[in-house]
Amino acid sequence: MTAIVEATGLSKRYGSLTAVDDVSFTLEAGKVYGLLGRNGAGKTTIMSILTGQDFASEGEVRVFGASPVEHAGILQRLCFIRESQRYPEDYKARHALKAAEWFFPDWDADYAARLVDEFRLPVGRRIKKLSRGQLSAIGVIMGLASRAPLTFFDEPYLGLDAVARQLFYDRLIEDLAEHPRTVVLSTHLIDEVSELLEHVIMIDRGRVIVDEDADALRGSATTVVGPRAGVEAFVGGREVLHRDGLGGLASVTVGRLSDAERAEAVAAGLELTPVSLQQLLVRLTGGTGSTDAAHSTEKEATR
Amino acid sequence: MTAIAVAETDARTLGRSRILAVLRLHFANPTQMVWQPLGIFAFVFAVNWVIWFIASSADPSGVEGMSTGTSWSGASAFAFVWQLVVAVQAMNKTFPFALGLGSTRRDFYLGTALAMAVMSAGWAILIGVLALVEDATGGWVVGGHMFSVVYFGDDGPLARVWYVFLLMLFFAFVGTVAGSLFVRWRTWGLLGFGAVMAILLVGGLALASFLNGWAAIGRFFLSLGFAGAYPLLLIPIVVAGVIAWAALRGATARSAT
Repeated sequence: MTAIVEATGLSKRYGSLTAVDDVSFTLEAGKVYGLLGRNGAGKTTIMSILTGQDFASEGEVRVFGASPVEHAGILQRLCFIRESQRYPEDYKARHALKAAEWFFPDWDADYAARLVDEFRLPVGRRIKKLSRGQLSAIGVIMGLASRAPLTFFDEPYLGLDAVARQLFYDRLIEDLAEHPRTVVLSTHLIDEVSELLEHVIMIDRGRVIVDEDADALRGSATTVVGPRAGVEAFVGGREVLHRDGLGGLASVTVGRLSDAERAEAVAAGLELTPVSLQQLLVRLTGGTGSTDAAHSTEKEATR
Repeated sequence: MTAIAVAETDARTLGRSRILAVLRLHFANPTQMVWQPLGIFAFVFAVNWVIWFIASSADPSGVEGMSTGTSWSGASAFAFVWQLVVAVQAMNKTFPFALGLGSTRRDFYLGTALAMAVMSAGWAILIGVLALVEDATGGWVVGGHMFSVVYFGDDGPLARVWYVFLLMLFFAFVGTVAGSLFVRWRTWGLLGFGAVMAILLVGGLALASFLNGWAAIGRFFLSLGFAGAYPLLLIPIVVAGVIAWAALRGATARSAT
């Protein structure tokens, strides 16, 4: 596999705020990446730097072998319509889609027109009058129809209804099969895309906290559920990611378990459930406060 | 190695078409760039014509006197202000979209400057032609002037087109520099621009007054005539162009949100 993006020691500071803090990773050709993290984690800033729309304070980025900044030959192979993309005054959706044709060498206008129908995008309406979901649809359509060798989708699900979400999912899979390319899905609505992702990069407070193959990641944590005494005995001295309890029952999330350990748990009458990427992100980035929650439940238990 | 080599050939072959793509980007929605100002222009003209008609039938000096008076008309001034506003929005609104489409700042700047020149040329030709018609029809029959006005002298129709073009381009680049300073430094950019302009203007006025230079300045411009004075606009146009590019080079899509 060839690396098409290499980021080394990337940092971005805005005054006293550090949006991206010493981030390094590589993206390989033809894979689907999940760039996951909470709002404000630094996802959009990283994508802005990768696409030359913003400048790194420190560190180096190489996209298709060179710095993307002001490099037309590289930039035309990237597509990054940001979630908060701004459009020219009084533009209608059809103007934006027309313009895309002049900039993306592999733009497929027929495909774009089909997607417009399917997403029911009102192309004759001024963009500033569009709803959040319709704005997302423009970004999704441009991302798909650009057929750019490296395409970023920035929060593609924002405001989309259930039908449109499914549609995006289906069209992305279909189109990737026909036109393989590298895709980065940046989102905090992870369960929607979880099955699609081949590799996951999780960002928290501007830092990479996970950079791993998605399949490996899915098995990297397990929740053990059962009677409190049995669960505690099994968990023992393991590192606990999350702890929950109700009455005599306990639910504890631990790291990767070997087959022998799994057999041992089952023999002890405990139930093992895999942890979804979404839950993992919540646990790892302290959505419910991984350590705080554990402390509070422990306190409750001792009361 | 291969990736870099491929990237660079792409950039060379597509260089010109990418600048043209930016030009088209500005005209993709012609409503604001073309139809709205033309509509306003037609409306202003129609209102003016009615006023000329009423005035010429009431004025004892008749069409002759009307013609002299209306040759000081500033009715077409709005088109210049419109040009300035369009230039500001071209920077502020179109720049982040161009970045989203993968344009370089350089291509965006050159394409935008080209769009401004095309707009200015379009206006200059339109006003030039209308001025010819105006003169040929005795001021639209009623001795009214909106296009062949004193501000562009009487050096002939081609000279008038050239002067209008330069003045249009001047307003376009004032808008371009203001817009790019805003895109780069937001409100501080505009405040700084306004402050520097105010200092230069007041300083210039003070200097001219203290040195009793007004007569000399008057003589200087008189000696230049229209043909010599209008091209002097190229100085602020170039200065604005250079500052705009310097600001835009470091502008980001984020600073534009």
